[in-house]
Amino acid sequence: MKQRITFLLHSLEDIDTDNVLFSDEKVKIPSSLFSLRQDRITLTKDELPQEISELFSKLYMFRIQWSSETAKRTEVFQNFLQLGFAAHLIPSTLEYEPVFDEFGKFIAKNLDVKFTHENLISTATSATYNSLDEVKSSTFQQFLSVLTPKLDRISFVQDFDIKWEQSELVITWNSEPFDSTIERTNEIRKEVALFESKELYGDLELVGFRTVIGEEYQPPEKTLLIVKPRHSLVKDTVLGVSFQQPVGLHPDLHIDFSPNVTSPFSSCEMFIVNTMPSVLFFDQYQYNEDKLHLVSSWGENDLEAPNWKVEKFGSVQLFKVKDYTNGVDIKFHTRYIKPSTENHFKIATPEVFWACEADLFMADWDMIERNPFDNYNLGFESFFEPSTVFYHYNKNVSSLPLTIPSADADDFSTVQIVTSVSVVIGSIYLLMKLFGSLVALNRPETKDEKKIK
Amino acid sequence: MSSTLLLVAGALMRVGFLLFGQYQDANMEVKYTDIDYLVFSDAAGYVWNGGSPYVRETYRYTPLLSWLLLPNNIFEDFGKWLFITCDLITGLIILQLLEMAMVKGWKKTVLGSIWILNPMVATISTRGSSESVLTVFVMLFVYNLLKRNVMTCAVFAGIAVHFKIYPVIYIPTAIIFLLPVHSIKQVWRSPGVVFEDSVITFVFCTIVTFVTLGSIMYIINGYEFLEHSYLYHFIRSDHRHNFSIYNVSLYFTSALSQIPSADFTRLAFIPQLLLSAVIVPLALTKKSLCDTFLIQTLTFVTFNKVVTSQYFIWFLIFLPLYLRNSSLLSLNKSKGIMALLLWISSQATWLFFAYKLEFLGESTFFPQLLLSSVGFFFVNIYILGLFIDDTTSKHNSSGI
Repeated sequence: MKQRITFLLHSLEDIDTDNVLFSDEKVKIPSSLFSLRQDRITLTKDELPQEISELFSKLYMFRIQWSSETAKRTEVFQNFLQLGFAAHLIPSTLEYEPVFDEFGKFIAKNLDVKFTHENLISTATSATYNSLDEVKSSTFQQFLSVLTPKLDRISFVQDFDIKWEQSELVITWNSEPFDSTIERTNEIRKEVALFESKELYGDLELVGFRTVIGEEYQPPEKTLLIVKPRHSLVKDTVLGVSFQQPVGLHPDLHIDFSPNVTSPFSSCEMFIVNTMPSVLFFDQYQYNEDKLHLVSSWGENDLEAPNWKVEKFGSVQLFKVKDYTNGVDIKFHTRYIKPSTENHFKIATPEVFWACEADLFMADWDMIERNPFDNYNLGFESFFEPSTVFYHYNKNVSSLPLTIPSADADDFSTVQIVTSVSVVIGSIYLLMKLFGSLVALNRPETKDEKKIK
Repeated sequence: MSSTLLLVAGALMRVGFLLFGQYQDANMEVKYTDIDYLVFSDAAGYVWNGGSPYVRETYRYTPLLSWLLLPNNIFEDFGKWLFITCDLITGLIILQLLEMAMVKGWKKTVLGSIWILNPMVATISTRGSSESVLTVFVMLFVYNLLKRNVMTCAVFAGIAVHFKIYPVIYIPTAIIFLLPVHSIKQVWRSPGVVFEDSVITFVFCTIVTFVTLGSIMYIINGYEFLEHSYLYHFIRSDHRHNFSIYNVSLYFTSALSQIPSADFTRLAFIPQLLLSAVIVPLALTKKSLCDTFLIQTLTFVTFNKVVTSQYFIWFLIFLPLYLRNSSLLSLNKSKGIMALLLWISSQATWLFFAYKLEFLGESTFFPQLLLSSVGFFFVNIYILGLFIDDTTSKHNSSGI
């Protein structure tokens, strides 16, 4: 098994023999020196426990991601994940429902996120499940221990990304700073690198040290790496995302583009990827077509079903933005929810980014795929060609609260009584009137009636 | 004002509404055009390209409607012009019926304008709601029934039922109307009268029309047609808030009911159909055909599991005829005004709480919306009582 540990340093100059330790037995890096740590482990099918490798082999490909509300997204580590939990699955057999269920059980047991095949939606590239479930660092560490030999202590995991492809499992996770100690073991080849990143004409220059401990030992040596990121951040711009007030049953998500927004390159187009839980739905027949083009809406698009009749987790929309002047509004509609159930929801704000055809303006775009931190795979990036580069916007909030009005289940019997009694009284009243009329109309006319006429 | 002038005024008013709607659609966030119009248009688009109208989600009508709207593919407002035309044809038939009932002069104009100059009616058709196509069929059915063109009348009855199921409640009324007796009591004495030729012709032709249309649609669109046009209306549990007395109960029942048999809303069709399709026609048809139609339609809507303001169109077509000799406009004017005020204010109360729910996100299901729909229900019941008493005591020798 291989483990790659990368520290993103505040400054290379901070490193000295007093604060870091490099030896063939261990590497120690104090938390004060770096802003983010990335771990990546690679396991072949044979290195996995047999039961697990059998389960994974029933899937052609999968990607499991999770990102916390406070996760720092960096161009170096390419961790541009959507908030919350996502599972993207591609089965290798037509009998995929039991496979998805079995896989769901495995995830529920080990990562504490529950889903079955009924909750999945199918997008352009995979069967997908999303939720805003929290995965604790300890849960994730427990999960790793099921798959791998003992790892060094990890903490403060802010996001992770698990990929299974061609019988190889790659798990990447990023942690906030903690005092890190990496110890030599025979089972794991550990490659440790410390970098400072500098921008270099759109590329990144990574300068630092690299060492390998394990069965072989490579003493620390200086390294220089130039990488071309697939995902970049649009600097100095934060988009304001909010629900227009009052929210009501038709929340209107407003994305404020008022800061100077311009396309990074002429071949770029702006997109929005939106992931919604089932309590909200998007009406693909009614939206602002002057501003947005709906590329597709996957998942639960039923315009009428209440939430208790919906199995899928929700839906995903991919929009191309036609016109962002004065902001963009996306109208959603709420489903009715069960009386007396949780009616406060957290809604992830959409991903807003420019997608650009790299081969049109980058001579050396193939460098993107050679970036050791590139992670192109399933998920929203797979809706685009592999030669696409992305420029992401930061948002003022990663999620928005939403309250959906619902009734109180305790009122059920009162409602039933009031309704049925009303119907019965109304019916009896009409029956009396009608029988009265039937009698009056079938009776020979009396003198009084004749007089009225 | 002559009938022609009235119709011209109605037409101008609708064109004005249509133009305003185009302006609103182009310039305002809240659109004038009804979502249903987009549904029909999309469905007509699928048909235009050789597909099925049911490819469009929430298209729950006969394919006939999407065929009627095929020109929408060339001229997108075609349907609205069609609905406006149907509105005016309905108005024209109302005027004809008033004339048949010997209503003339300004009285005819005033009564006709209840439909022709009604802003609610004009709004519904210019927003692109198809109700007026149905009202033409219903009125042609009524007109031919009164003219005793039994076969023509039956064809329109068949089309109307094919179009929207509810006009089926008019079938018993038509049968009783055609019976050669003065009062329903005579049928008990000599039950043989039900085999009267005109009755047999009517029933036969209605069934043939309905079955033929249904078969054609089934052959072309298959099970989809049955599922979306008919079966859906029996299994739907439309829980989104509407005026119906059952609405809040349906929301709870759909969400909470563990035992489906305990759900009494499944029995809602019993009082609804018993009253509107059996007892009302038995009690009143021989007194007045159009009053019976009005009362049974209002009963049907009052007891329906879903009530929206579009449904009010269904009984509004009979109101001018009903009012021509109603005591609510003469002797009992105060009762009439009171009924109208109650009807409007109970709706306004409901709308106020629906607004709070829909736009402000306040939970007003219980007790506000429940009690407002109960209030509206009882106002309708009270009005029905007034109409029944009024019809019973009316002087009406024509039977219209």
